[in-house]
Amino acid sequence: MDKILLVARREYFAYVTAWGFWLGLLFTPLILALSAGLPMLIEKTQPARYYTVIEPDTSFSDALRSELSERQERIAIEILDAAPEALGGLAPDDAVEQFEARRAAGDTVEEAFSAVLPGAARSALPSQSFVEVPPPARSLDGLRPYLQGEALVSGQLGERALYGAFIVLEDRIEYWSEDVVSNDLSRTARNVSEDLARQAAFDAAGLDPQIIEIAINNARPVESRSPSVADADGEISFADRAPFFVALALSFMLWLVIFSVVNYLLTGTIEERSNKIFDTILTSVSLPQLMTGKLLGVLGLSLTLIGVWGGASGAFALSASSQIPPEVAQALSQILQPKFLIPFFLSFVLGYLMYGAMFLALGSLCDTIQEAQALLSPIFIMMMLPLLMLPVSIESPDSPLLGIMSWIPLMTPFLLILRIPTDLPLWMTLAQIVWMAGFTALMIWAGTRVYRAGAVHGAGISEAREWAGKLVGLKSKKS
Amino acid sequence: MTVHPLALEGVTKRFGAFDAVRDVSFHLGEGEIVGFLGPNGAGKSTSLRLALGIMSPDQGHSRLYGGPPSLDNLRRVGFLPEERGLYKRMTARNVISYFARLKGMKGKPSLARADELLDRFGLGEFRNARISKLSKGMAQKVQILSTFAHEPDILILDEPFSGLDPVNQADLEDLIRAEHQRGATILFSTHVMEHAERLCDRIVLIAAGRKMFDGTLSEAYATQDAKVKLATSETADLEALFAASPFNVSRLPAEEGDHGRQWWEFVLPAGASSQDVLKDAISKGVEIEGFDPGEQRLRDVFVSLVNEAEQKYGASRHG
Repeated sequence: MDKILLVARREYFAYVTAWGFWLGLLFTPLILALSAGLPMLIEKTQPARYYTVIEPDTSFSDALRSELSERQERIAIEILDAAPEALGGLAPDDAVEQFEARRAAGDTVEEAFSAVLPGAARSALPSQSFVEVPPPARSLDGLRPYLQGEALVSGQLGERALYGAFIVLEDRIEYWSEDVVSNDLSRTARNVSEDLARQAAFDAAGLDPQIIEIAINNARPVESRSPSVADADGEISFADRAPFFVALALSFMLWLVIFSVVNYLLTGTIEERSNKIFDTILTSVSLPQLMTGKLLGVLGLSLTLIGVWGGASGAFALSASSQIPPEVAQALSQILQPKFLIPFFLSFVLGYLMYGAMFLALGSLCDTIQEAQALLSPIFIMMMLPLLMLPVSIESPDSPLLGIMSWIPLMTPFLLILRIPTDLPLWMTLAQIVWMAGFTALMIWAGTRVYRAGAVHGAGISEAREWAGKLVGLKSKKS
Repeated sequence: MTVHPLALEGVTKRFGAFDAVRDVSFHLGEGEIVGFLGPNGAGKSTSLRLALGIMSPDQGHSRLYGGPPSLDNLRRVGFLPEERGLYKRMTARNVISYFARLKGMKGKPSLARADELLDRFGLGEFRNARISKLSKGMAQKVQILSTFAHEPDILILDEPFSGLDPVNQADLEDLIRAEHQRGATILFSTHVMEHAERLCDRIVLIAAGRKMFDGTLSEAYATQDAKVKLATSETADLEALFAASPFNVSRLPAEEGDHGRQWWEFVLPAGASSQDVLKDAISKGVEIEGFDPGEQRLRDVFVSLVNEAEQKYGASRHG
């Protein structure tokens, strides 16, 4: 045991004292946060773009302008409705009323919002993406230099290139823009055109549009309920959906931690092989002791990772506890429930050992990282599959595909947790854990044999190809 | 029955159809220094790995103090493999301490021992330097010190002198002698015969996977005919002159630097000495321009036995 701990200690300190480990530890959450917030950031930082409309009257441009400001207006009202403390004694209803009055008087959304809620940052509101400017020319040929950025148009944001132009004709509306990818503005225009056509049809039929609005308001709401939820009425709340999000977060964390650390086992073993350390060390420790020590050392590394990430998240949650909505706090508390914690812990240990044994074995066959990459490609593809199943678990947690894939041993550690919130029967949970444990034992057995071949007998990539060939040959003979 | 520190008993190891080692037996006596000689690919490293239980033989046994190699009796062994390497990110001090601890030393004594060895061998100022920052020679020295750190009873050194400059080779020879004086039993493989001649009590020679010789240096020399070389002017014909003598005389091919001289080789019969050749040549009126009394060299024994092994077993070794 002493020797195992010595090997484990060496492995642990070899990595935990390296800059790369701490950079990865700090940058991984940052990169994740960045990639999650990137679409929002892109939208927020996108400067407003000018468009213009050429039409005989102003019906289309009026409707388009109104449609474009509606989203910003809706968000402003939501903020005013949900921020009573910041209003300085003003009731939310009064705040919304004042806002609407200012809008009716001609204020822009930003002006009305700042007037009613002086302390609020303007950045709380999404900026208006598109701003109308008067047409700088009355024909397409005249507009062309503006659309191509050769000439600028003036508007409330100063001089800028013209992003898009609508030419309203009798039978169609032409949309001209240099941007052939984004369809934000053209989609909005299409909705506006349909609304205008609908309204014209109602007018022709002698129908007051308000009648339609009243009819829509009178429609019976469809409420989502479930017999399984805690609420007496069976109404589904965020708290009922929370376990699915918790399962998703835990599964992703498991995936992230395991694949962040098993790479160390691979590179460490390649280092031992390429630096010819095996012969020296194998007269002091047995091969199983060496493998166990390495697995334990890197397990310590993964616990450090979980500890730092978990600790930082906990500290952040505590410091911001007053600002976390109660339903989110309730969702977070679900992580501590045994129905999540126990499968998470077992999936973590078994998944780590399963992949750890595999990466150790692969490392023992390779002299360089480049050699390892040739063997790792199919494994990386396999590793990505559980990640692809994460969205499925939210959209369709009872999906038969998810159920079937959760029995593929290399995916079980990640997919078992995703299925926990679907009221998976206890026997099924236990069966998957036993299945996972059995496969892990098989991987450790096979990994030890390969590791011995690589570390003691110097087997390499060519031997691995031979084994794979024999395996395939065996299968084809059987089939 | 005598229990030897290390013994191989009829050991055979095959890799596929290739006989790496075939029926090799030898032992180390307590406190001996034994040279393990053989050409490249003879099976030396495989024999040492078999002796230490790193790999298992297909036939035969290896014994350490009478038992099969195990982590218990391997604690008494210090092994320097032919293919050497250390953890590059560890410091010199920590790497020596780590390997000593794996052999059973405690933490603080292992660090103190590492400091002592590093100071003794001129690496004291590099104790906290990472292995990756040391020169190749220094890193090799650190590895040798790691092998000695736990004061093992047996030292198995596979090509310990390779890669060392002459000064460090001399240091290592001194270290081996010091360990021998401490009481350690030592086996080292080499193909530099001078090291074996200076250090060994006994040599074991393997070639083509077979043991070809096991005995003392004098016994090794005795396997070869004694030879003497003599130089004359190119016009002399000693083959005719010595036709009736008890020496077998042959003309050696001309070499650069002979400066117009012709060298002759005399193979001496048992009991004859180089002085007999000299006296006989003078009595026959030979003008002697050079003389090499032909001290017996282990190199000649080595070349002769290796050639014999290749002729006998070279072809059959590959199945």
